[in-house]
Amino acid sequence: MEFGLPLATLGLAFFSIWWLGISIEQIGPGLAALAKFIALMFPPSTGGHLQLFLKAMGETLAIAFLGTLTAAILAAPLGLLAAKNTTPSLLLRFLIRRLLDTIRGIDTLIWALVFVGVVGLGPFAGILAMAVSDTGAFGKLFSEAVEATEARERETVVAGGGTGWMAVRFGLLPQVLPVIASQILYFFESNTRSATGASGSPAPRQGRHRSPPPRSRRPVADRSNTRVRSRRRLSGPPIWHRSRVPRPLCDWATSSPRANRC
Amino acid sequence: MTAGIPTLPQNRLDLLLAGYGQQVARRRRQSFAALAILAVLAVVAGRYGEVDLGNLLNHLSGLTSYFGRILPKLSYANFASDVAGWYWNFLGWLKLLFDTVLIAYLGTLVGAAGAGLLAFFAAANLAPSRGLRWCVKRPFEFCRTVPDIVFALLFVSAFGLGPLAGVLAIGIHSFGTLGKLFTEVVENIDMKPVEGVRSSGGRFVDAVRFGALPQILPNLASYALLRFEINVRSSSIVGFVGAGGIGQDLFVAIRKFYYTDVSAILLMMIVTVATIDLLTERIRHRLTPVERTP
Repeated sequence: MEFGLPLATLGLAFFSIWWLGISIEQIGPGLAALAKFIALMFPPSTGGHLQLFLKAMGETLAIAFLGTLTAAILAAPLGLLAAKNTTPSLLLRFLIRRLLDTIRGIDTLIWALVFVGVVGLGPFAGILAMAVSDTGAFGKLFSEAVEATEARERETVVAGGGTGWMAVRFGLLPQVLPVIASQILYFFESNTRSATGASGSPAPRQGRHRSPPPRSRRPVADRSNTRVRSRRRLSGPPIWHRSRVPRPLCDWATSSPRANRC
Repeated sequence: MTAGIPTLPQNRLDLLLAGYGQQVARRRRQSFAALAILAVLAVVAGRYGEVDLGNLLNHLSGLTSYFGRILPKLSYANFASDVAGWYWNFLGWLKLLFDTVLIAYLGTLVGAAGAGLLAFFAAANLAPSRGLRWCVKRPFEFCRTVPDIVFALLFVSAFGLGPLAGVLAIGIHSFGTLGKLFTEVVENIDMKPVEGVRSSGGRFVDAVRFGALPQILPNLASYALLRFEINVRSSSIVGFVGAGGIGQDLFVAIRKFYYTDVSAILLMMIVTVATIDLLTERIRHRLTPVERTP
């Protein structure tokens, strides 16, 4: 019995390795390729694209900041509506909770793809994606924070003649604000890390990664541009035609920071 | 009859009220200043992030129509065959979803095992030496700073397409995040058992095994399960870059505008994620009655 759980864990691990068809032989050459890859990364060099990278970094920060802020604002009422002690209506609570579950079940990256179709390529799509997907997470966390509060303080406000809103403002908010604030800050931190995947900066990044011969360095802008344009040509009108249509053709020679996205 | 509430003399009252007013005004000013700073930051970030609300409002119908288009056309008359047509590749997707969950499982296991071994060297209260502690903490930081999708991109080019890249990417990212959480758990233990082991001549390994581990095992398991929940989501994404799982099919469906496939796969993903969330939440609550949000 004592070894039952570890054995089951290991057994499942071996089953997964077998099921996924992972073989040990893959690892040796893979590590060699990885070492070569890492060796190529040294010495770190911006390749003359420092400005572009700095701009992309700024965009990443902007995405994380605005995304988290918007999500927090949107989630505040939803959190109250999803909490047992502030929303007596079972049906409303159930609906809001399922809504939050659904939003959370879809990863930020998928939301980003959806929003790229709505507002076009660029950091704005990332902000919207992060705002929506974090609304789901915040909604759940906020509602848990609200449910964990003491009822007495709200009762005091009501007993003193306060309205429901006053009870929330003076009886509830002071209790949940510290919890919520720390959660928002934590999300901002982790979003700064993960915003790299949500939009803006991956344009140069993916271009850099996916070019097979790392020695030949065409400008980043050039590469990601061909990618986007060919994709647009291949996949036809349905979504892309709606993105900001009149895109000027880029002057490849200038390292204009916008070059990576026109 | 007015109740005889004793009031202070008017001049004293004015003084106190003025003081109170000042206090309130000071807090108000602080709050407004904070809000103003936040607003300025938001505007600056908006400029950097190319926020264009007009664009969003103009194309908001695009969002709703997108969701309208991905919904399948189900009719009451031949409901069964409509659903069958919607889920034409149900078994294939089910297998891919199973792959996804297993990738998350293996990745979490790899990350948790590595983090569990190294967390004791990174914890301030147990670490044998400061230098070693520093050496262990930096890799933790590095691994959690790089998003798993970036690791996946890197590993796909090194190890080739397939689940191995996904497992490693998720494993390494989890190693970083779990390393931090595990270290914090170890730093919060009651040191008396550890001192007991040490005072009776136990080495570092003994202190960890008999002093620390029994205290924290439930917490470690709880955090690993929480990470597993998160990893199920991310492993459905690593397929976007070719690292195995259902992400690949979803990406193709989104990119090629197979609208109903998108909704079919998304629905399966949501159901899977929700089920796993529910199950692990049950187990976690049983493991640790009072849990902190990480």
